[in-house]
Amino acid sequence: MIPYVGCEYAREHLDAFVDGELSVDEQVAVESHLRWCRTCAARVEDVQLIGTSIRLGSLAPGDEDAQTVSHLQSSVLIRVRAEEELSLASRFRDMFADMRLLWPALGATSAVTVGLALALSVLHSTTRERPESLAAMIELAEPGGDHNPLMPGNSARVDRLLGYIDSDRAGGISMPRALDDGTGFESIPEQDAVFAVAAVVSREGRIANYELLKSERRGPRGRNLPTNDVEMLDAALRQSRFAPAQTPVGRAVAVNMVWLIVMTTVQTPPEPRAIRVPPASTAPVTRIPPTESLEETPLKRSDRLETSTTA
Amino acid sequence: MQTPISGGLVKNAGAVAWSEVDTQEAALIARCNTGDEAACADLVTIHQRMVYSLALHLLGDRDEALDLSQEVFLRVFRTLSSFRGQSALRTWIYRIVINQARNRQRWWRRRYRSSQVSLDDHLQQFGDVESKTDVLPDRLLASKETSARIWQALDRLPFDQRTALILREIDGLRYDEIAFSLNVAVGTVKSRLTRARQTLRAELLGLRT
Repeated sequence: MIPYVGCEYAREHLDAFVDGELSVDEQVAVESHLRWCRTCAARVEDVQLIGTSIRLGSLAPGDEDAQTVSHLQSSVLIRVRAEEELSLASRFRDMFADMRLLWPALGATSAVTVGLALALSVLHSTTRERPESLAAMIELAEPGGDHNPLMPGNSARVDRLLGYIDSDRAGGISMPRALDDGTGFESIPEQDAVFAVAAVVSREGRIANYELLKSERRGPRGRNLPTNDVEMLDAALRQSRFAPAQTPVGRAVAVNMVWLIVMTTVQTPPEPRAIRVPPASTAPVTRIPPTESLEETPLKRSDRLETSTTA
Repeated sequence: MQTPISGGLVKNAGAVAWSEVDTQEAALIARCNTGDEAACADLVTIHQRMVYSLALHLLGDRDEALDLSQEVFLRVFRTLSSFRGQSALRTWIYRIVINQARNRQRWWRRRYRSSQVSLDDHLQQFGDVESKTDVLPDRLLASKETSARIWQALDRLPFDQRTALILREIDGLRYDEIAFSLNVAVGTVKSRLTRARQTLRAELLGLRT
């Protein structure tokens, strides 16, 4: 039995009917409708006429086009070969084929670049080498740092838990202790001398910087310190090593100190004078045996290092 | 009384299976992917006329169509390794032609909108206009004048409607093949064809008056 369909249904399916895209049932139903409905049949004719007109006016490739198309194969293969040789450039070009992706990519790249530049500038501005940087200010403000040395003794105190310096808390800072016995000063000529040096002993136990406060030298060379001696003193100070000053919690800190360097010569006492005793009349004259040679013993030199804190 | 008939037109374009590619075509694709130049030449030879024809109908310019055809085959060889047999190779190449033509159409229309071919030029190209006295009074026959009018109206259609109609009427593609080529659902193809034909039918009605 052929189902009945109305114009509304038929019109919805007329295009598919003309194109042969309906199922067999639908095809039969629409066809039966077209037998009695002239309006829908006219529509079908129009659709068919449109198709015929399109095919009639189509730009079907002619003989001239056939020659053109025949060259297509060779030109395509030439370009394929060329592209294989320049495949990297080709891939790069493909990346930019879709410009919708290019702009977000450029934007993201720019944002990352700006972010990196900002981060680097912040890092650069916080380096300790820059005196106005936060790191340098923290370094300066840090008690016990090389730029902010303390004074040993009980005047400066340290928080035991947090390790920061606080004058109101209990504790003290130990004195830096010289690790050598003054061998560095043996190169200085053997003359009695006194040097007073104001110095900073760093956390590493080195003389960070110093100032020669006073120097005295006895002997034929007078009180003025020769240039040669200054250089030797400078070298000796630079070679000096200390056990750094420490807080009660064991943290090494830099301290100010005045270093008194005294070089003295110990001499033997003067030769004792022989006492001549008058001879007794009866008693034989006895000769007091001479004392042992009281030749002046070689001078024994000792260096004495003293330290004291600055006021 | 109307009996509703369930239609089965709406199919997914992606439902086309691997079986769309026959063994011979699959072998040709495999050879092309290995860089076999003879196989590439064969592939171009098989499809070049179809590609050029579609490009010509979509763009309406022989030089542009030839240039586009070269671009299409280059694109085919660049992306052939990603072809998974989801359609016939011909339909897959149709899709590339349409995408390339769509991109070029935008640029072409922006640049040469003012120099589009007039109806007189088109009629001159396709021959003399038949006298209206030769045409039946109530119905039009497929004449060169009618064809020219229809093509002029076709050129004014949106690209997707025009492409769907050309693929259907000239290339004879099925709805599912058109859907794959346009990367849309079959229902969308049907609605585009219907709208395109309605517009052209209005042009026919104008010819009758």
